[in-house]
Amino acid sequence: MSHLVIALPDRVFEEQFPALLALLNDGDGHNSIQIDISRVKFLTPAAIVAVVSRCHRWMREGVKVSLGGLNQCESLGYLQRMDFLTHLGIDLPETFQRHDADGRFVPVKSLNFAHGNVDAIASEITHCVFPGTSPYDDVFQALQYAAGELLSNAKYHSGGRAFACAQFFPQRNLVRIAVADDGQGIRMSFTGTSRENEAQTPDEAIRLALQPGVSSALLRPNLNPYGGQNHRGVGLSITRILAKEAGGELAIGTESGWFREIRGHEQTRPRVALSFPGTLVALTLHRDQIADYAAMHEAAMAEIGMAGLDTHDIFSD
Amino acid sequence: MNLEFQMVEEFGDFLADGHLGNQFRSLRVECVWNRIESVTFDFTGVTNITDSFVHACFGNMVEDHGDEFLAKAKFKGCSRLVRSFLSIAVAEGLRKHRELHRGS
Repeated sequence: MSHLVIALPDRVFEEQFPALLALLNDGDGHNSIQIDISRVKFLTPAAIVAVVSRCHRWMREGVKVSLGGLNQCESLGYLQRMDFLTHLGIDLPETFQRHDADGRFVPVKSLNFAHGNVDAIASEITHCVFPGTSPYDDVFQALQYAAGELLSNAKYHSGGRAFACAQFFPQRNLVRIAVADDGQGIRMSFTGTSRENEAQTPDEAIRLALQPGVSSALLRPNLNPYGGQNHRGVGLSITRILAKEAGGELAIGTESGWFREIRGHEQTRPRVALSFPGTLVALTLHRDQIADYAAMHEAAMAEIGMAGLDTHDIFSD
Repeated sequence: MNLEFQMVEEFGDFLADGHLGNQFRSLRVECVWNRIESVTFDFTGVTNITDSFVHACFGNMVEDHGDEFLAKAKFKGCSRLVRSFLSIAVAEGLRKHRELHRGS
């Protein structure tokens, strides 16, 4: 029986995602894996859901997964609050009040869409990050929209189980939200479609998925019992533009594919041999750079070539 | 037949799930479309919406019926944000309808 210890780094911010994914990839092929958290001081929401999602996949495959280094971990309380330990099967006594989470973070949520729709889960995440904020507030609406679209993609494209969490950093006015699933990955979702040739590699598949109007669902024979399409391939493209306009970033990892854009500038692909079964999407938005969400969304739609009606006869007060 | 749907009662204040939007379109509207003289979708109380929902629900509807949708349907109680989403989805549906029926 082969046993592997994966020691998580002390801090994982967006820059360190690829290295983390490469590190997790080492676990494949082992019967027993221990995730050592002794050095951990901070993990972003994306890092947390990536580890949880990967561990759950291993567990489903019959691999024994355990946590080590709990006594040495300076951030044990933080990881507990994020429900990182709970999702890996460790329940320790808690010395904090759960309602403290409001306004700062959303603990890891295991997304069972059969028991909650996309709208309810996205709203719950947004209310948790911005408690007491009016649902007409521009920042609230932008985050709710992005959460809705990311969760919708996980629900319909992954075919697997998804995890999400989020965090608000008041000093930097920064919101981080991440969704990870252990489904088929983006490349496989294009397999058998007319655009399969444009998605031969995971990197190519990400680029194809980011194109406005491209959705693997639109390219398949429509098996929808209601006819029509549930997707138009618009949500991810608009989320990408919102991230750019809000001074934030979008990162996507799927299999060995990687994409990261900061304020609209694509970053050089890291040289590490990363791998993530399924899809990981991480989004950051700067709260102070979202002044008029309706105008931002309209401009984003215009950027992908979609404009509203010339006439407003269809609207009444 | 004149229909009116209170969208907040159907879906809550945030309309995000494309599957539910498409289901509503099919089971509540399309199945009686030929008997409808007018249909009003009242968005009073709806605070937010996604592109997935609006295109699956109204984009598909307009793509199927084209100008007939404009003649029968009205949107009521829309905030500036909701109005913008609907306007784009309807325009896009009309574009697709006209593309599909060009020359027919």
